[in-house]
Amino acid sequence: MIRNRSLWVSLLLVAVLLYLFLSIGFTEIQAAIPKSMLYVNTIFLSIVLEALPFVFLGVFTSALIQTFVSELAVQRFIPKNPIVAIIPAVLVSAIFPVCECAIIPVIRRLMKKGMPLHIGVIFIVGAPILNPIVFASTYYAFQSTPAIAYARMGLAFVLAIVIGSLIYAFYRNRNQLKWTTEELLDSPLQTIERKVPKIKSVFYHASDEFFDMGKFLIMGAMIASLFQTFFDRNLLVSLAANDTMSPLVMMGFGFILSLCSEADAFVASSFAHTFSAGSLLAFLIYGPMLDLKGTIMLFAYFRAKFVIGLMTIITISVYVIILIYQYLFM
Amino acid sequence: MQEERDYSSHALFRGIILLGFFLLLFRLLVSGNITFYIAPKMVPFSYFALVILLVLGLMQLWRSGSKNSEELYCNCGFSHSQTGSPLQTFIIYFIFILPVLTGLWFPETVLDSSIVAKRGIVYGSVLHSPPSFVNDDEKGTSFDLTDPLVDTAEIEANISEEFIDNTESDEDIYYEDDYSQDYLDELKDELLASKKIIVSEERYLDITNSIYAYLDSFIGKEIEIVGFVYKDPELEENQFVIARFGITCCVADASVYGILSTMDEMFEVEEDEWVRATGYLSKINLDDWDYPHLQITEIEKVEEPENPYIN
Repeated sequence: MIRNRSLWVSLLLVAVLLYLFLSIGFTEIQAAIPKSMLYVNTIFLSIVLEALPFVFLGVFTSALIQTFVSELAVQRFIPKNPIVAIIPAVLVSAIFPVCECAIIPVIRRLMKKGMPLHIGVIFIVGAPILNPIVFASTYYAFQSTPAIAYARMGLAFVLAIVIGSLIYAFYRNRNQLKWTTEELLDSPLQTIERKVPKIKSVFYHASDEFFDMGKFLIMGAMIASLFQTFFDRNLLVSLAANDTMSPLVMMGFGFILSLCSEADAFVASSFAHTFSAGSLLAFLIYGPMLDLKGTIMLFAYFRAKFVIGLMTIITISVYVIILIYQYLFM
Repeated sequence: MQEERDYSSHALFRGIILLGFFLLLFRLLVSGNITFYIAPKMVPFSYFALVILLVLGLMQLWRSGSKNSEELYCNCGFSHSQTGSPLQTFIIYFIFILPVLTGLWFPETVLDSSIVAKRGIVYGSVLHSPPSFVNDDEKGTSFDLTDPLVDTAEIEANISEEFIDNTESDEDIYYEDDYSQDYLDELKDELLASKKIIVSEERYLDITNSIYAYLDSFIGKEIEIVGFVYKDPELEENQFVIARFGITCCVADASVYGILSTMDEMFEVEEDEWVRATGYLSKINLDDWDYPHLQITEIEKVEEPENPYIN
C-alpha cells in the first residue's frame, strides 16, 4: 500500500519536473508573479546553487573519512593534552580552504570518530576565515586599507584560540553531538564491509548526509533571501548610533545575510563609507563563524543546549575582542 | 518489511529530487542562464555538482529497487531514517523540491533599481573606499590613501608569520598580478592615451577603479559607459546614476557600482532602462568626498546585456 502510494507520488513528481524542464516559454501566470517574489527566488536559488558544490565536497569528504579513516587514526593524530592541541588545530584550520557549508559535516564526522569537542569547534569557527582565499578576497576588496585583511586574519586567529579554550573550560570533552539509540547500540562497521563495496558505501553515505543537512541549508537560504530582498540596508546606519552599538549591529547583519566568507568582504566594503573599521571587522569575523544557515545546521547536529552555549560564547568573544581592538587601534 | 519499504520509497524520492536538481542545473548551464545566479568564475564548481547530482540520483533510484537490505540501510553510525509523521516527511521533501520547482518555473530575473534602493550604491569603485577609517593599521605602517595600491613588496614584508605560506597560493598570485601597481599605472596611461575611454564590460571595475584612483588626471576625458538608470530621490531632477550590479560569488553578494551623471538636454530616461551614455568626466563633491561625475552629451537606449552583472 505504502509502496504503491509513494510510487504514484513519484510518478506525478517526475511528470511535473519533466513538464517544467521542457517548457521554457514565458506564460501569463509567470508574468503575474510579483517582482519582489522573483527577487526572493533569485537570491534564494543563487545561495542554494552556489553552496551545492561545496556541500557535496563536504559530504563526500565526510563519507570518505567514515569509510576509510578509523577512530584510532583520528585519535592518534590529535595531541593527548587538550590544551596543547589547541594551537596545532588553529594552524591546521588555516590550511584548509573550506567554507562553513563544507566544514560542518566533516567536523561532525571527525567528532563521531573521537575528535575532542573544543578542537572541532576551533575548526568550525577558524576554517571559514583563516584561509588563503578569504585573505586574498578581503585584501582585494579593501585595497585602500589592507589593514582590514590583516586584522581580520589576526583577530580570527586569536578568537579561534579563545573560543576553543572557553569551550574546553565550560564543556571539557563531554559529548554534545546528537546520537540516536540505534546508533549507540549498533556496531555496524563489520557487517557493511562484507556486503557493500567500499566505494559504493561512500556514495550512499554522501547522499544520505546531503539529505540530512541539505534541508537546513535550504531553509537558511530561504530566510536569508527574504532579508536580502526586503531589508533596507540604510536602516543599519540609523541603528548604529555609536562605536559600542555599531559592531553589534554589523554582527547581527552578518549573521542574517549568511554569505560565503569568500564574498562577504565585498559586501562589507560597500559599507566602508558609513561604518567604522571595527564594525566592518565585526561583520567579517562574526558572519563566517556564526550565521543563520550555519546555525540551523549546528542545531541539526549538536544538542540544542550546547548550540546556544556555543553561540553565546562566540558572540561575547567576538564583541569583546572587537571592542578591545577599537580601543587599541582607533 | 514495513521499514524496508519505507527505506525504499525514501530512496526513490531522494533519487527524484537529486535528478530534479540535476535537470535544473543542466538547463541553467546549457542555456547560460546560470550567470543570473552565480558568477562565471564559480561556474566550474557547478559542473562538478552536476556530475555528482546525476551519479547520486541514479544510485538512489537503483538503491530503491534493490532487494538487498544491506544496500538500503547505510549503517554508518547515523540513523538516516526519517522518523516522524508522514506530514513531517512531506514537509522535509517539500523543502528540497521547492528550489527545483521555483528554479524551473519562475523566470530568471535580473536585479534592478528597487534592490539598489535597499542596498545603497558605491560611487566610483569599491576598491577605493573613502577613508572613514585610516588609522587602524595594526602594523603601524601608514598607507597613503591618495595612492591606494601599495607596493606589494611592502605588504609582503608586513605579513605576519602565520600567513606567509598562504600568500604563496595561486589565488593570491592571481589577485596580485591582476592588481599590481604597475597594472593600474599601465591602464591609466593606456586610458589617458586613448581619445575616448570605452568602459567595457570585461574591464568595468579595472577602468572605474583607475579613474577613481587618478580622478584629477581624468577630468575632461570623454568616456562611454553602459548601465541601467537609477534615480536616487536625493539627486537633482536631471541627475541619475548609470549603475551596474557586480557579483563576486553569487547574486546574494551583489553590490551596486555606478557613476553619477547629469544630462541637460531633454531625453526621457526611465528608471531601470539600459542606456549607453557618452560624456565628459568631471568631479562632484558628496559628503566631503570627490566622486567621478559624467556630464552626458549623448545617450541612447540599449538592450540589456547578455550578462547584466559585472564580475
